Formats: sequence, structure tokens, C-alpha cells
Amino acid sequence: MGNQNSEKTIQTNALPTIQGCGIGLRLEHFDEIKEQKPDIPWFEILSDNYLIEGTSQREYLYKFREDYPVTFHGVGLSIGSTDPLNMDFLKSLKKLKDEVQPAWISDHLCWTSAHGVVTHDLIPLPYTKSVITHIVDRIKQVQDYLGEQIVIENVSSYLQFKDSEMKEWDFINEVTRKSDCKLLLDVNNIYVSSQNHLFDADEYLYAMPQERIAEMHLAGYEDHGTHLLDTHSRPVTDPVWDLFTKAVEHFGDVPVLIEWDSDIPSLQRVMEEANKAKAIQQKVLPLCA
Amino acid sequence: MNLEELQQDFISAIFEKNNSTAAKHVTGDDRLTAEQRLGIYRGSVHGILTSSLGVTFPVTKSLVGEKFFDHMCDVFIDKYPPTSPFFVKYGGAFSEFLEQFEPAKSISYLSDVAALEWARHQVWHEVILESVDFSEMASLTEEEQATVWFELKQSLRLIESGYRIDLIWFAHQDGSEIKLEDVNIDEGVQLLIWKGTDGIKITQLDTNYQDYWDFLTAISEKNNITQLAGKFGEHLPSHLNRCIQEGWIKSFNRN
Ligand SMILES: [Fe+2]
Repeated sequence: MGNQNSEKTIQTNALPTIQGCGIGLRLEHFDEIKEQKPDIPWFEILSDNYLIEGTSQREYLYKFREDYPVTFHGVGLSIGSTDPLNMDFLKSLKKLKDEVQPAWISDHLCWTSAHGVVTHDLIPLPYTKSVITHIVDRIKQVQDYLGEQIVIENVSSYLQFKDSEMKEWDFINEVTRKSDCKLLLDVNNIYVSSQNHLFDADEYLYAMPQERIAEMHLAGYEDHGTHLLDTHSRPVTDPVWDLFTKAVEHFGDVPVLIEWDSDIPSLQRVMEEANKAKAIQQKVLPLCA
Repeated sequence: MNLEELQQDFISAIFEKNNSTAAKHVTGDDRLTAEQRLGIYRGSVHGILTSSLGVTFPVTKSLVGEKFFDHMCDVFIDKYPPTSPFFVKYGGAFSEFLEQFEPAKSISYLSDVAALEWARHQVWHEVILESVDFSEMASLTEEEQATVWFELKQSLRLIESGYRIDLIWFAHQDGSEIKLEDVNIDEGVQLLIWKGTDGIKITQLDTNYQDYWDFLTAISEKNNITQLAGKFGEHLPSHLNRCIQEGWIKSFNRN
């Protein structure tokens, strides 16, 4: 009865190759992409928005996936929370993964929920040994459940905890190494946090574990005078392009993605940002070779 | 350091105005105090949730204006923080909250409009299930048929109001020819919100489908055929046929 239990089969290559400069798939661009099939090597989808089966959005994604490789990017994992992992959420994520076959699944090195309350925002962690143990254990649980390595992203932050025992970059190194996960290096987040906490962005960047970087993110922030706010509502700024250039020089050919989540402009405008990133890669990479 | 305690204090700082407990965990400096830094997170979380409520309740928002809507959301978010990582599940208590929210009481229909918008939102995120083959009912014995009861599709909601919330809603859609000043909104209405293959529909049951409110309600209360026949008599076959044709009924069951 009904079609809710039928298995989806999507006409795709089993393991999509992710290369070059992608952009984040947003509802506002659905129709345009469907009609024009723009030349974009891959898209990152906000997987949390597609977890409910049978919705129009999910149906769109099945079709979309026939034309483009995708990666999943989420907020709901709350990997740093002290609440138990939300198994309903994970189960839905696994089902979506099995159907859509993303190249990888990423979420953030932070917590978004605790004590049963969900903030839907990315809240930083104290950088301590005990927190590392806690997070590593949870990343391993998620990886075991999903049957693959996950990709964890560094977040922007506006505060630091008194209890932190180490630098953020040492914390990231330890977590990714001990849990054997991959890293999504958000270059904009490094810059935003470096301004908010007055550290050297280059020192952070060069400390990142090259062999674990699966992807890089670029986005725009808002300058609030006392701090930079990571809003994904603006073009990428010059200091972030500079930091990205250094990242390409240092880490080589890593897939990069433009995130634009509020005050979303035309698809054309987002593609211009992606082309800018591509131009930097093309300029820098032959020199690295 | 106890991470669980730190997270509890942080949650309180985001959903209650007092952040002095959480501030103990946070470093401040001459640019921003610990409290101000926590305030950035409170502002950011409230911003994310307010904009999500604005997307789910656009007509409610335009009825009160952006500034007042943001204020309502601010109070609502502290009182009813999200408890699910599924974003679409946030806002179910908004209509109920507005009913009790003193500053909004001058707009008596506001909470019902929010209920209509929530129903549309829920229906939009429901699966459209295919109906079973009702002709199979013919193979049941008469005795078996007497105990059959029906199940409505999940992609359907029944909503009742003392105001013409349907017209209020339509009047706020782009290109609508309905002008609120021309209609009497102080009339009761019974609505069926449902997802058809071409989008979400708002069907007024009391004029176009007389009796159907009671009929669909009886079905949702799992009345069996015998009970339905008692209530709707000779109209039962035509009511049932029409509901099946419209695709409102998903299946029939016996037990
Ligand atoms: Fe990012």
C-alpha cells in the first residue's frame, strides 16, 4: 500500500567525484538550476532540510542528483553535546545518504543542542582533553553507524571559555586524528575567529592536518565593529581571499565551496564567487605542481 | 570543568535574559564583556528562529508588522525553545501562544490565522500517500463491511474558526483580488487544508461541502460504517464516494 516504503533508485555513478569549486544548493535557486543546468561541478546540500521523506523538497533532490554530484552538510548532529546522540536524526540521515549517495557527510565541531533544547546555532566548545575524549567517542559512534568517515568543520566563534587548555588548532588536530575523521576547513571561519579572539590566522591555517582536509568553505561575514559575525550573507572579503590563496598554496587542490545563506543573491552572483575561487586555484596550483 | 553544566548554563543564557551564570565560564576583554559575548549567541539564535517563524507564518507577520512580529517571536522563543533538530517542527505552539499573548489580543483572529498557517506548513511537509484500492471492500461480507473504519491521509488537516481566516489568508497572497475591507470576517468557517498533486489547498467545508466537516471529523475519530450510517443515513454512500474521489481517505481497516 502506498509508495512510502519503496526503495529509491537514482541514476548516478556510485561514488561521485568532487572537484573544483561548488556552491551550496538553496531553495531560491531550485527552478533556475532545473531549467538551465548550469555548469557547476558539485553542490552541497543542507541535509537537515531533506530528512523528511515524501516532501516536495526531497523529490526535487532525487531529480537534482541525477544531474549533479552532491555533498551533505548538516547542523543537527550536535557532536559536542552532552545529550545522547539523537538516533532518530541519525537514522533519517542514513536513509537519505543511502538514497542520494553523497560524496561525504559533514557537520560542525561544536554543539547545537543540550538538555533537550535545540538552538539550531553553532556553539563552540571548551578546548580541553576531556572534551576531546567526549567528542572523539561520539564521532566514532556516528562513523560506525553511518559506515563511513565523516567530515567535521571548524566553526566561527564569538567567545572563548576560561577552561580551555589548548589552542583551537591543537584541539582540531587531536579530535580529527583520534577519531580518524576528515576535516572541512572553513577559511572564512578561521579569519572571523582570528579577528574576534586576536590570534594569527596564518598560524591556525598552517597548523591544519593537510592529509585530513576533504573540503574548504568560503563565505562572507558582517562587521559589527566589536566583532565579526559569520552570517553567510555577503561576498567573500579580501582578507579571506588572501587566506584562501595561502590555503591553496599550502594544501594544494582541495574542493572548495561557496556558502551563501541569507540575503541570497542570484545564482549568477554566487557562481561569480565560485569562479573567483577557481581563478585563484588555477593561478596558484601550477606553481605548486 | 563540567561540560554538561556549562551547556546547561549556556542554554539558560540563550533562552532566558539572565546570563550571569553562564558568564562565569566565558572570557571577557576590553572590547566585549563575557555577558556581551553571550549576548551575541542569544541574538544569533533568536535571529535564526525568528526568521524561520517568519517563513512559516508570513500572513501572521504581515498582520502585525515586522517589528511587533519580532517582539512576539522573542517572547515565544524563550517560552517555547525548539526541542527537535528537524527545523520544520518548530512553531507548533505559536498559535496557542498568541491566543494567550496579551499585547496581541486586539487582533482577535491572529491566533487562528497562525493555526491555519501552521496547518499549511505541516501539510506541506507530509508525504502524499497513495490510496488503497477501495473496490476491494466489495469482497468483504456484509458483516465484515459493517465494522470497516477509514483512515484519513496525513496530508490533511481540519481547522475551525470564528473568523473568515481563509479570506484573511487569501487577501494576503500576491495578486489576490480579495480586499479585507470588503468582506465580513466575523463569520465562522470550517476548513480542510490538504495537499493535492498541484499544491496545498484550503477548502471551505461549510458551503461547498455541506456536512463534510462532521463526516471527516467522524472518520478521523475512527467511526465505523455502522456508526457513520447512523449519523449520515442515506448520504453515507455519496459522502464516502466524494471523499475517496478527492483523495482524502487513505485506507480502510477492520478490527
Ligand atoms: Fe562553513
